[in-house]
Amino acid sequence: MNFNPGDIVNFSVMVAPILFLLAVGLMLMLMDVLKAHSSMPLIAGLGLIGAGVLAVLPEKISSMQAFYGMIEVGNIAPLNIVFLCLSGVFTIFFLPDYLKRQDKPIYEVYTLLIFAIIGMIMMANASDLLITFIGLETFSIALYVFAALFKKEETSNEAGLKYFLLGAFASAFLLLGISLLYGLTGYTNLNDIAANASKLTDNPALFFTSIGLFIIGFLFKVSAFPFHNWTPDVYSGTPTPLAGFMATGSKMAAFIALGTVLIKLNFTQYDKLVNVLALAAILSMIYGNVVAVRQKNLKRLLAYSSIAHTGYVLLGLCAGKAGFVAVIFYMFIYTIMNIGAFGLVGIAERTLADTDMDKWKGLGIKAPYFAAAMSLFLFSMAGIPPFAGFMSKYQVFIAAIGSGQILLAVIGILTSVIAAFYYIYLIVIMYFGKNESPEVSPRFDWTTGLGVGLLAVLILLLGIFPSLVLQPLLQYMSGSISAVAAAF
Amino acid sequence: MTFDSIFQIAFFWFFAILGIAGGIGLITQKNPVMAALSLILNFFSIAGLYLSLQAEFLAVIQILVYAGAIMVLFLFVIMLLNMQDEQNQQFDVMKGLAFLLGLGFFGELLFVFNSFMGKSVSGAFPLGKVEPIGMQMMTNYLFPFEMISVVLLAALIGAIIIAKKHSYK
Amino acid sequence: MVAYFGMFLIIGIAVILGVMLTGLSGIIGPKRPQEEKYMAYESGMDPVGTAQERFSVKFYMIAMLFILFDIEVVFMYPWAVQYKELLKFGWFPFLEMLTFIVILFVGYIYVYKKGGLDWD
Repeated sequence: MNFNPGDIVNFSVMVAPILFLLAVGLMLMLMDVLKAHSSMPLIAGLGLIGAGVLAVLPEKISSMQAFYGMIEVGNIAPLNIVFLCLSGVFTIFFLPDYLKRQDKPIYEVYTLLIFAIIGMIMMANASDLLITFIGLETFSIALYVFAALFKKEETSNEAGLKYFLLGAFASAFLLLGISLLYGLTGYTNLNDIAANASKLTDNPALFFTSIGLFIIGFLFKVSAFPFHNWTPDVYSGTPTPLAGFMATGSKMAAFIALGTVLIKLNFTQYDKLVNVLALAAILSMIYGNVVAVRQKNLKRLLAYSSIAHTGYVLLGLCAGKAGFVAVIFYMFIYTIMNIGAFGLVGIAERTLADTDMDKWKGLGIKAPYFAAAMSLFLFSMAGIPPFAGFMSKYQVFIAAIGSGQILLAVIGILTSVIAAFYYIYLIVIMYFGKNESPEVSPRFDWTTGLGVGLLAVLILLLGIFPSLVLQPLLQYMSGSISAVAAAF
Repeated sequence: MTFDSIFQIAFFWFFAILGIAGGIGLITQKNPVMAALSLILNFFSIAGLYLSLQAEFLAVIQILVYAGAIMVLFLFVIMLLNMQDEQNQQFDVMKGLAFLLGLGFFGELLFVFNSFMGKSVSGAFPLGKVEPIGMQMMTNYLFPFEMISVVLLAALIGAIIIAKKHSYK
Repeated sequence: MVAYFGMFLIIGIAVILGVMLTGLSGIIGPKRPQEEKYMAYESGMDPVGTAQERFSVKFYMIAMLFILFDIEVVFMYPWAVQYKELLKFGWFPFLEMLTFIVILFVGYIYVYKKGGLDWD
């Protein structure tokens, strides 16, 4: 690795999406200062779309990693950027209207959203553990601020403080894991660590401790079972569309990063690691779904359901390399339906406390479009065909069965039945609940209407033609990039 | 024994004992300001331990950032919250459980680190002094270095949103 | 390690001197306790309230911004120390640091314009 300033130009082209997003972020900061507030959502959205396009533009890649093995630019990396940017775009559809109705014109949200997505991209595409950590910190800081955004509200303060303290703790575990891996091998670069795998197994106690701490850090970020406690409180205190973003974008990035690291270390050969992940998956699925049944508050219900969905994704992760496509596919579908569901809850609520299920009685008659859209997202989350949620669950179960994890798949299917109960219960409340004058009166403005429409169409489309996403995923995974770039 | 090795041992024990004294002071002092000052002692001796590992840059940063800047924030928070002297706290089961868990984790780490004792890491290059760090940061680790600025920007915006009085109505 | 001996000596002497000077004056100094002597000195007035007054978040705001820029300086330190060596890459190291500073300068403009440094 001889450093040559001339390389930097090439490398900069390779990470163009990140640099472009950075420029957009800086521009948003200046716009904020110059009080050009009204066009900030538009610029942020266009910036994210632009970064996504830059990522998949056909280009000759001379190496798989840029900046001397720091960040992945080949393989599946461009698609990760597209998915993460899309999660931001979906969120932006719901934000301006929500902030306006709450009477809290905080325009920094868009800037922070861009920076958060830069962090997520870095973490998901990192091929050096240093970048993993820097990316994690970048988006974590942005998310802490999101949780505490409505600083005058007590619930928001609670959410911010809880998320910050526990998140900092989890980062510490992750960092200890990384430093032990460095201590074992002498490298922070994932490829170098993988090439020196024999050094890892020389000292099994230290290896399992380090990788265990590493996994703990990530399990916290994805709110898997033993580290899920913060989830309901934080999601219910966070501004609703941002809670949707928190539950999807950051989890997607964390799962991709965890999956990449584990697969590079070839983790399926260590039964202990697979068992730990499988246990977390089983407990998350059971706990999330069972506790969600008893929830009376919509945001808490969605929070518990998000714990359960984490379980399903972990199930795919246990399948190792074969399940990785399913994991990313699941997270993308989950991103669409969860941001949609959180966005709709955000449309319906006037104050942060206004999310009780009882208040939604009779919405099916009063706000038919709204109720129909919500039902669609809920059906999809329950995994009922022909919606996309079914396809994503199917992929994950197939991957689990294919790798011999039959028990996991069976538990997954059983808990899906429990899940279907509470999702459909909410639909029943909306359509058959007796209430002459529902207190909530959701109204779409054009951005939210457009957003909901787009997400609903995507759910239907991907439910019927899942290969629209699966095909590119498989192709990028196998490395035939140019063929796919033409198809886009 | 040569003077060098005696000095090395003395150096380690001096800072190790000082650090533990600071740590004990931190949790036993009733006055929160005194506890914070004990923490400075602890930070300072950790900087000393870094020096004993030849990690000069880390030692300097430890003093500059932790013992200097971060401690100012600690003291500000104490004054901001107007904390009074700690009252006698009741012992409860959860605290006992947390203590036991912590002790277990400590024991586990001790066991693991012990298995690491005396082995040197091949491949790791000597990166304790300021010069190699500067060299690496500007060449092979250029990307993380530039991206640190994004972390700092995000923190900056967050600080303004949350702590500034009239950032929005 | 021996290279640190001088530093160790300075710390040792400083600690001994500090402990000795305050300790000695405590031991051999005359003690005639009076109530007024133990009162906090507030320019001749009798002190009101406690010494630990609650204080404004403004101080914290400044301190927090200070830390962020302090960390920026931390990154400039190894760069500055190594700059002569880095000159073999020509102007490039300078541009690297310039990028870093320009990005954070946008942050500074932001803070300044948002009134983060105002004392209102």
